[in-house]
Amino acid sequence: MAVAADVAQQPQALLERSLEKLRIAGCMGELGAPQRQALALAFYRGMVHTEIAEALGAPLGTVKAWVRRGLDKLKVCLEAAGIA
Amino acid sequence: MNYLSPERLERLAREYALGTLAGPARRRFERVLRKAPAAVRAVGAWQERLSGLAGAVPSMRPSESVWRRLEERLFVSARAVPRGPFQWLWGVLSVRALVGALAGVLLCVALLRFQPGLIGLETESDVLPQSYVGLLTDVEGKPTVLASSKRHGRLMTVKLLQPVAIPAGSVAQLWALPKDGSAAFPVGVVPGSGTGTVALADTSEALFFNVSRLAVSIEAAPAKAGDKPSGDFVLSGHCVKLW
Repeated sequence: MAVAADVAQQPQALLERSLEKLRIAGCMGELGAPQRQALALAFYRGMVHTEIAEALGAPLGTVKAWVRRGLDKLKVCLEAAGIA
Repeated sequence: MNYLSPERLERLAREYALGTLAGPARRRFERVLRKAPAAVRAVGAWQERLSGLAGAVPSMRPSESVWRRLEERLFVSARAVPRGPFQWLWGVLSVRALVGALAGVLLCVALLRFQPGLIGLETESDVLPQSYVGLLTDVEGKPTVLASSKRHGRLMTVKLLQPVAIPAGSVAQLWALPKDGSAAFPVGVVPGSGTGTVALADTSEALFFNVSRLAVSIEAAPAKAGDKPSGDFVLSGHCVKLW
């Protein structure tokens, strides 16, 4: 019985996606806790700097630095992992 | 400011993609995006990097109410979706509809107040309506015919206060006599007894404005416009304005 091929469901593609997720999770894990938290609030909650500062009870300048450094590290890590 | 220096572009693009570039700065960068392909590429690269983060979130189905509120905020047309049993009422009660209804009410009030006759209503009042009235007496001075018509009406009501002897084959012709002494003109035929109505050629105002007397003669046939009485009047009386 023939089954229509679904590229996204092929074992190779599934493995790639799983590995990618692991690498991203790994990169996020490499960030410091405040940086990870600041990025998470921006990305998952759609918050801007002032809202993050309020949510975390941190000065605005500090939050901006967390976000900046967090993005710096994320980029380096993802590039090293061959994702971006 | 040169937005396209690699370092500044990188900083703006990633904050834009993350969503932390807000307010006027975001709007300024959006203008740059419309003109500079390099900026679009930089933002695209960061959106791709960050899209990996979305995969770490377990998918959730929002509740129906959350979904509806989202649609209402994102798409104006979704606001048309009924929200309650009385939602249709707010559609009906738009400002334009209210203004239209108000104009209709005002028109009705004005019509009832100033032209009640137009819709078949007369103002109820203790005062008699504006009318022309004639009381015709016979040669002995006995009241015989009461003729009346409303000022702007086209019907005359004729009431016989006592029977009038009309020879067979003849009619009792009512005439109007202008006060300037000019020739009498025919108004209509009155019955021999009881009450009847006479259709007027024009409104009472037009016909009787200058008429001082009404009279009845016996004619062989109903008189036409331009005819003159063929004999003496058997009844006559004053025509007066009742206002």
